[in-house]
Amino acid sequence: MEPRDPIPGEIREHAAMLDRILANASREVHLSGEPFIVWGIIGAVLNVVPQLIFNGGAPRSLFFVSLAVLAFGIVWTILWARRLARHAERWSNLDVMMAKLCNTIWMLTAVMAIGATTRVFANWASAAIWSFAWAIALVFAGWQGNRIALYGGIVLALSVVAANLAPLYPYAGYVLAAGMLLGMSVTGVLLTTQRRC
Amino acid sequence: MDDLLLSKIRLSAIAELLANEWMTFSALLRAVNTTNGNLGAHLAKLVEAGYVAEEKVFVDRKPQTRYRLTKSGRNAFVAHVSEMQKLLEQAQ
Repeated sequence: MEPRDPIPGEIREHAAMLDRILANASREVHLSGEPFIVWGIIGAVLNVVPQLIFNGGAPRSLFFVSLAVLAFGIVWTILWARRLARHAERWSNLDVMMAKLCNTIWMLTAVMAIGATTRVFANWASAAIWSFAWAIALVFAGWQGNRIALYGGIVLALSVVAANLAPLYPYAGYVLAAGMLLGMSVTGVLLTTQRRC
Repeated sequence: MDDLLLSKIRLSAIAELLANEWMTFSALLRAVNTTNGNLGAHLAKLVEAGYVAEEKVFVDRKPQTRYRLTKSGRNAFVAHVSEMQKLLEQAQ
């Protein structure tokens, strides 16, 4: 078919249609709530256990329970990611970017938390960098239009600041745990509820 | 102007695919808000023109059709928008 010359009115109509379509096209990053619920709880457990041991409220053997919880989290995440890849109806460019960001954060934070603990990341630093790293991911998602993620990220970041305050520092593990629950798990619940509505 | 992109349905489909690595037929149907047959016919034209790539996968033993924008589809869209802007400037 040969291209035809459109009349000016048609051009304006078409340009207006183009504007409307582009404005309505999906741009928001779609976050699944489940991993945030699970890792918020796991993060809380990993923070509470050493605090309990430090305070003398639990035996050292409880540390192995937290390792088991961490292993469960890793296995769950792998299975969840496989299920998501199979059942997703779309994979947006932002989703791809978020996945890459989360994977980068996860890998680098794991290296720092495991490899640089005891000296560079002493005391609660290795726990705090997890909260900080996930705060980065959530705030980034928030800037892509996801307000729930934004608030979750801010809560997580603030929990690290709160844990540093003199009166709260003796209970830093509990404060970081609360940050994980409020900043990640609650965010996950809200994201899951929002999707179902 | 690219006649293929003068259709609202085809333009909507391309706009959705611009923001996504890939989309299923059902996701596109909801986004574009038209009937099954109508969308199928428009997507077939885009696939024939090489603007959209179609792939059939099996998810839990059920067939699923996925669409992604090709490089030539993206270029055609950019050229179309650019042409629209030029024509608007000339008309003013």
